[in-house]
Amino acid sequence: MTARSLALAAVLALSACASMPGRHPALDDAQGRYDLARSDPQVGTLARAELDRAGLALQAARQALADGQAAAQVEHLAYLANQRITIARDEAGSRAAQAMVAPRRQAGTTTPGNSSLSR
Amino acid sequence: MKPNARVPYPIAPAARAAACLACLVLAGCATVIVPNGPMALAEAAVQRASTPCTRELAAVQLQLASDKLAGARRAMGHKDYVRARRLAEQAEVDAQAAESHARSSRSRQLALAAVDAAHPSDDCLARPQP
Repeated sequence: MTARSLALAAVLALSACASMPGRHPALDDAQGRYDLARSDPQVGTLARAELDRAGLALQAARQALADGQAAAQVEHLAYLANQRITIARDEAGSRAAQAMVAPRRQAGTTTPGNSSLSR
Repeated sequence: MKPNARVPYPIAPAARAAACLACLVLAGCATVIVPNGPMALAEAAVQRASTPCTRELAAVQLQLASDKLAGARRAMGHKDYVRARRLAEQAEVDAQAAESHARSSRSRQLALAAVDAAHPSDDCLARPQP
């Protein structure tokens, strides 16, 4: 009787572990970086669209983990989310720097080689 | 053996095997989709990012994107479509990250140049001592 109870408890414990969404280092990293970017006013203001896209990518990765998809797929989606966060940060930095230069350009100050900035 | 022993699942073995085979084939069809769309997007993104500016300012990121695109092409050749899709999607985002990084670096360079132009070095501004 005791052995059967123990076995039942073990099965219940194991099934609980299996149904809990596990943690994933790359996804945790992406979540942390996303939260930081979202709390940065420069990113939120100057790269809103890119930040939203990063959020959607992160959501897809979280959903894949919750759905129990293959670890390689979760890793892949977390990578995409991480890169989208990097893009949002770079775009915000780029636009902030361009905003610094723009008034000077309008005032007649010349700056060399800015054709590469056009998208 | 009892003469009237009941068979638990009265399905002929051949029918059971056919059903299993059909399930396997359908499962295969459901998961393996040739990633032509992601491949095209990755090709376009890497091509677009391959500018002199990006090669100069985001060489590592651009190389990463190119390498993954090459890996995706190889995987397509081996009919490893799951791997091909992942590599193509990563190549696309890596190429976009390379572009953003180059643009960000260039913008910062130009901003610094503009600041330097507006504020010459302290030596020039220093007033001669009486």
